[in-house]
This record gives sequence, C-alpha cells and structure tokens, in this order.
Amino acid sequence: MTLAASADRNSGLLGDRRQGARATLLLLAVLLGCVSVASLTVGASGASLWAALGQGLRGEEIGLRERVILFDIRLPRLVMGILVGAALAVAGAVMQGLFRNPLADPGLVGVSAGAGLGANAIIVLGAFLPATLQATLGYYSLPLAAFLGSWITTLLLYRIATRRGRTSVAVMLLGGIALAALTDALSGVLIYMADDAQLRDLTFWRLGSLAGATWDKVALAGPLIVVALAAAPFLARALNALALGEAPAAHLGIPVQRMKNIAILSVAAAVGAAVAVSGGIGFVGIVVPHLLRLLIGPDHRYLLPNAALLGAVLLLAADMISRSIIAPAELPIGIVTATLGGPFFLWILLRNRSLLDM
Amino acid sequence: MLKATGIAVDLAGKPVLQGVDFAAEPGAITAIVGPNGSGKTTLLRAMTQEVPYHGRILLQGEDIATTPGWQLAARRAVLPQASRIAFPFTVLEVVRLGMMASAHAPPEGRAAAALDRVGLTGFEGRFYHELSGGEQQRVQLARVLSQVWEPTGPDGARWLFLDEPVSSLDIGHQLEVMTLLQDYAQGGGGVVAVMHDLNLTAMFARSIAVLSQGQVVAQGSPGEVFSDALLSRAYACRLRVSAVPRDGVPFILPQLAAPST
Repeated sequence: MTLAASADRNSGLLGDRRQGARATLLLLAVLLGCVSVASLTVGASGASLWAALGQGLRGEEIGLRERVILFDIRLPRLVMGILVGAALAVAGAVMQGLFRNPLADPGLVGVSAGAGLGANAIIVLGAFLPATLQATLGYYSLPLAAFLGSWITTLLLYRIATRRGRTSVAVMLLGGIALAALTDALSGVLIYMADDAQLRDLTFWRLGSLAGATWDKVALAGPLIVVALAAAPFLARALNALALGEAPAAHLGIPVQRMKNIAILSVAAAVGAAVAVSGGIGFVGIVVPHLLRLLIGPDHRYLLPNAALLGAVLLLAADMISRSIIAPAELPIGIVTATLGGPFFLWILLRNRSLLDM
Repeated sequence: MLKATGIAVDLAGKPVLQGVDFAAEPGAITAIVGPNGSGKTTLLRAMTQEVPYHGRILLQGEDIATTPGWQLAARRAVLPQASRIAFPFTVLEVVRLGMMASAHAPPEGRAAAALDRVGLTGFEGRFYHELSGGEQQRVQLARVLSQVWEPTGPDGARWLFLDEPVSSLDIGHQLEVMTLLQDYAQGGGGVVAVMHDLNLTAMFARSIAVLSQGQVVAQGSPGEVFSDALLSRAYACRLRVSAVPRDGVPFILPQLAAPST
C-alpha cells in the first residue's frame, strides 16, 4: 500500500504506476552507463584507464597495453556482462509471468542445469557428432546445445507443474528440484567420462564466471540473447493477461498457447545462451524482477525493460566485486550472486509464505 | 442472440452435460439456475470455450468454435467465479487489463467510470490481493465491464457471461450489481448469468434455464419456470413458490419437512 501510494504522488492518478516505471527506466539507463564506465576502469591490471579513455576521446594514440586491456579484455567482458545480466533477469521475469508466481527462477528450477547439461554434452561428446553437423554448427554448437537443454527442461517443468491452466507452486518447485537433480546426475556421468582438458572446461559451469570473456563468446551468445530480448515486448501484454489465469487471458483475446510457447522458447534461448558463455550464475532472475515489482509494480510492459537494465547493472556490480574482493585473484561471479541472492530468496520466501499454500 | 444446441460435456470421463439446448436474447438478463453439481457452471464454461464440448454454439449467428479469439474478445467478456491474481496489481491496473482487448485505446477515464459503476470509487490505488472477496468480485466485474463497455457495437450486442456474479456480496451490493446488469441488458447488451439465489433471479431475470443432472429441465420466464413441483424436483427438497403481493414477482421459500400438508 505505501509503495503504491508513494507512486501515486508522482503520477497524479491513484493506482497508476506507469509514470514511475518510466522514470525508473531512465534512471536505470543512466546507472547502467555509470556502472559500465566504472567496470571498464576497475581491474587487476592497475592500468590507469581513466587517462587512456581521456586520450581516446581527445583523439590521441592510446598505448598498446592500455588498448589491449581496454578493448580486448574489459570491453568484451562489459558487453557480455550486460547481455548475460539482461538475459537472466528478463528470463526470470518471463518465467515468473508464465508460471504465475514470483518464485520461478531459471537457476532454481533446473532450467540452468538443463542448459549446463546441454553444454557439458557438447564439450564431452561433441567429437562424436557427424562431421558435417560439426562443420555447419561450428562454435555455435555450444550455445545451441545449451539452448536445447534449457528448452527441454522448461517444457518438461511446465507440463509437470501446470494442470488445466493452473500452476501449482509446490509442484513447480519440487518438480524443478527433481529435474535439476536428474540433469546434474547426467552431467556427473559426463564429467566421469571427460578427459583432463574437458574437465577444466566443465569445472567452469559449476561456478559461473564472466572471466575469459572474448569477442568470440559475445558473438556466440549475443544473437540468441538479442532474439530472446526482442520477443519480450510482444510477450508483455500476454503475461499481464496471464496473471488473471489462462481462461481469463483467452477471453481477453490473447492466443494463450502460442504466447506460452514463445515465452518458453525465449526463456530457453536467453538462459541457454547465458549459461553457454558464463556458466550457472544464479539468483539474478529472481532478485531483479522481485525488487522491480516492489518499486514499479508487476505490469510486464515496464517490468521487462526495467529488468533488462537492472539485471545488467547488478551483474556488472557483482562482477566488479568478484574482480576486486581478492585481487589480483578473482572470485567466480556465481559465488558472489549466490552469496547475495540466497538470503534474498529466503527473505522473499518468508514474506510470501501464503504463496506456497496454493 | 446466443444459441447453443445439443451441448454435451464430459469431464474426467464422466458426462456432466447431455444434449443441452440453451438460448439467450440481448435486452434482458438470462439466468442459469440449478442445484450444486447440476452442470450450470459447466454450461457457462462450454459457452465460453473453457471446456471442450460437443454441439454447436452460435453467438450473433457465428459459430464460436471458428471465430478468432480477438473477435470474440471484442464481443463478449467473462466474469469467473473466484479470481486470484498472480502478482500485486493495483485495482486500477486490474481494471485496465480488461481494456487490452479493444483495438483503439479506450479513453483514460473508462477505468474510473467502471469502478464507479460497481461502487468502488476511491479504491484505484489499493492492492487487489488485499481486498475482501466481495470487493475483489466487484473489481473483476469492473474489469469485465471495461472490456465490453458499450452494450452494443457496430456488429450487434455485446455479451457478459457471469459465473455467480453476486455470490460473495452483501444484499445491498447484490441489488446494486444486479441493477447494473439489468441496465446493461436494457441498453441492448446480452447478459447470461449463473445464479445461486432464486429470489434475486426471479426479480431480475427475464428468462431462466433450470438445470438438473446435466440437463435443462425448463427454460422460460420466472412465472413459467418457477413452480412448486418443478423446483422441488430439481432441488430435491420441498419448495413453495409465492408471489410478492404488489408486483407479482415470484419468491421461493423452503418448507421444513413438517408432518402437515
């Protein structure tokens, strides 16, 4: 009540939070700009990039070392952080809209684990794919396999948790645990089969990190994430209607089944691509939409773009923490987001106990 | 008009409706009554395509099975029986959801006008999930009204399908909502409501269908349908129909199983 009331004062019309949501969008865009600049200038190398940035802006020659750090290490990492942060937050918001409850998070209910299984399978078994397929897919086999893994798990989870247009929170969470356990077990089999070089790659999935971001990886994940994010505006109205239930949404003229399929595909594409390049980074998908619903309300037309921006901001901030807290070494970012997100998730759970009785 | 012929519905392998014929004209409230489990909600859900059915349902002469969803959404709105909403929407936001169906952006003031009609002016900024059951029901009615605001459009009547629209309301609000529905019908709109309260039904409905064990046992005006014998049989208890002395509206009273008569 208090939050809605405070939003009213900004917009003038009682219960209308649209103006506040637009202002938040602007604010987050500015914040993303600031965090991006900070992210470019903070790092283990100690290179003074403020000076280098200034030189670049004045059109002067930048030193080779600065140029490499700036353009080949930090810039791809920045772009990847923005893409992955936006992808995870929007995927979380879309998934919560689809499942009609705020506890659905790709990391919690096995969707990320499914993506990880797909990626693991390609790393370990990719050599067994037919040569022509390998040649056609090239590097893209990794994000595509992750996408397939997350798509199948999302689809399965939706089938398990939803009966006659109603989603059970308890069945969704428990079904998610079962799916995550199953996919993790299959990943375990793959790890058992892997050789040393493959093991090093696999360890990376468990932790989640933006380290090792390259322009190649940006090019791998970028297209899938951009496609998934581009679908979001078309889903927003449908997700709003779905909050009323599937039948009421259909009565509002929403092609419910088609929209559900698009939502599941875009969640899978965003999570699959994000996991393929950065491993399992948890909790962004639950923390970001939840905070935003408190601030601007649940209208997906505003929630989704705001989530993209706040997801990017939070992931870049977490990345800066992960780079500086034990510098010059680096803490995997998945550990940072889990440390912050775990208690936050418990807080949501305790605040919404009644949700679990549904 | 609305015309349903030969409607049969099976739920979980059990026949719930068999060979039901039902018709409703715009201009007056049409009510569906019957005891618990007689299939009245299922009939409404079949006519709004919420359950698969056999048979044929025509709305303004067009088979609803082949009419695109967005066209139906412009023509009819459906009030569900009980409605939880997944996220913390404000009352104003819920009512605005009803307006997403219209091709042109409706005027800003329509949501407020719809809330005014259900007596909830001043509730705009409240959270839907914090309201009482009766208030939630009226917010949903405002949402449904805002979807088919004008009772008639260029292609004929607009329709309201309502599942027990006054079930959790106090008597004052029951009358307010029933009057609102009557006004909508008298403006040229179609209103089909599943009703629980026989006396309210007698007072407001022009046409009444009585369901019993998955079949329509009578459809007609209150005077035609509400008889001691028919209602007592349908509801499996002893009921006596009398008439309000002044205007002749029937009212129904239960009779305790007294040894007399």
